[in-house]
Amino acid sequence: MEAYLLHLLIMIGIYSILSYSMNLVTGFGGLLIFCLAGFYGIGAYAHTLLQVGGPESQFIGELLFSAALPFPVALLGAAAAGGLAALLIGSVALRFRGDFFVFTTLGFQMIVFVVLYNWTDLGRGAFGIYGIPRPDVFGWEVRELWEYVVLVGALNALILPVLFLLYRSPFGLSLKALRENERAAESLGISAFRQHLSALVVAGACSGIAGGLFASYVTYIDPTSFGLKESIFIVSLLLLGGSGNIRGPILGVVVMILLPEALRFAGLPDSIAPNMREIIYGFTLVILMYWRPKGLAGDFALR
Amino acid sequence: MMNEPILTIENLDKRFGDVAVLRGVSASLLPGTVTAFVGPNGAGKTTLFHAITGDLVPDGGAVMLRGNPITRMAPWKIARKGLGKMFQDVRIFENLTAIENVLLALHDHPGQSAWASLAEAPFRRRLEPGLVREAKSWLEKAGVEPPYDRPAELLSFGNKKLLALARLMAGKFDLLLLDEPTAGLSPIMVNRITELIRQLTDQGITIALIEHNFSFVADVAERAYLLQEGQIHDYGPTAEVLAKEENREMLIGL
Repeated sequence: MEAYLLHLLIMIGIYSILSYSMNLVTGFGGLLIFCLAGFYGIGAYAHTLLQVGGPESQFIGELLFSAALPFPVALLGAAAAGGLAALLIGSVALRFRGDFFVFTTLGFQMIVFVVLYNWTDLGRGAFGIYGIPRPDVFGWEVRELWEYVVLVGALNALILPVLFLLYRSPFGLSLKALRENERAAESLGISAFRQHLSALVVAGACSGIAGGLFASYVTYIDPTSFGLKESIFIVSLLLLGGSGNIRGPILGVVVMILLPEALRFAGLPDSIAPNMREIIYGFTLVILMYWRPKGLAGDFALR
Repeated sequence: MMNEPILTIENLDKRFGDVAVLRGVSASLLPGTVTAFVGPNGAGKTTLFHAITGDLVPDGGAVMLRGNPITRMAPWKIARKGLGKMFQDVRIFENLTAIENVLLALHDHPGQSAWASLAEAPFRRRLEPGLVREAKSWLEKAGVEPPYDRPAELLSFGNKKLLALARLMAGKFDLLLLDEPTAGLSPIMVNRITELIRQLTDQGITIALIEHNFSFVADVAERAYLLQEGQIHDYGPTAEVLAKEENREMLIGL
């Protein structure tokens, strides 16, 4: 039971990085994106490929690239990969507005999935990569669950304050202005392209770190963890909790991660429980969109 | 030097499909003056303003700001060159406070990059009060009704227009394009705006405006362009343009 609770805490920690990253782009910048899981996955794979390897690795000759770098360096690499991916997709997608922008991010998400799935030399495709080394942070060997909680907590403590500073900074204010009225903001000398691209890159880099954490926690990754479904899940975190402030995203994460667990104890027959969970998810979101478009505690209605 | 135009428009063309909205429009604005653009609805006045500010890309012709071409430049770049505008539908940031609306226009407000924002984060606490005080002083100068710390959507329509002007004043723009600044306003508000425009021109700021309120135009504008069907129909001192019989017929049907 204790292990189970610690596991939930770790997942909440990983998803809180993801939802606060998304919050910068969506809650403040007003851009709906369906590719955050892509950045998350790219981070996870970059972290993994930078970590597995070395002479005793079972993957030598099987993977295109493997580096056996220490955990902190690999995590930085994951951030760089996520940020770079965001820079790439942003500089294309931000040429479009509205629905077309959203579809471009959706397309990117699908491309990431298909590449990870089919490029077997890169990451073993559907087989996934197992045996990802557990973290070794400057001599601290993270093995126990509670140690993971500390590690994830520490990274939250490093990343979230930076994001919160950005929310409250002039940069965050200019994002809010762009969200309110892009042309009016541009008429004051604010470049929508630059501000949105910066927000995307920051979000991509933070999501990359979350991906690295996830990979080194579960020690096995395959593309299905980073598909469109995952992106939609992250969007629904913000829809449910609310966005454009600090309390909304974390509320969404806690509710969305604990809700299925609570349903698990609701006494549904095992054969229908997973389906029922999905149905209840869907219903909750529809009801929420209808009654509270800003989410439970949000400042901004995505609509 | 004083008579060198700050803005020159040369032969501007703009078509929407088959409709030629601007047909070879040329005009110039002298520094520190108020120029009015009048004409019937659909004459192309707003399109002309949009073509100047970069919101629309003209099909032909050129726009020069202080002798430098700004045609086809991105709107935000043109804004940074000192050209500010007030939209016909005002476009303040409704969910931000009045103070935040003005903060966004302050030039020393480093709202540009994420990196600059992070780099100056340690000094934020020290910088912020000064900036807020400056924003407040612009709001007071424009005559926006307090309180300033509530969402701007709660302001009356007149106050929203004043807020838009406060934003332009705070941004230290030296050329302002105002699209119907008095539309929908009470006479008191119109007087208030007249007064503000006088103050701005006294500081050497150049103003171009689109207006249908001809007594206001006669009050503030030295010169007027009369647009009709996408062409400059008449140009001259405001009183003369408004007095000509054929012009009056076109503008007010008398």
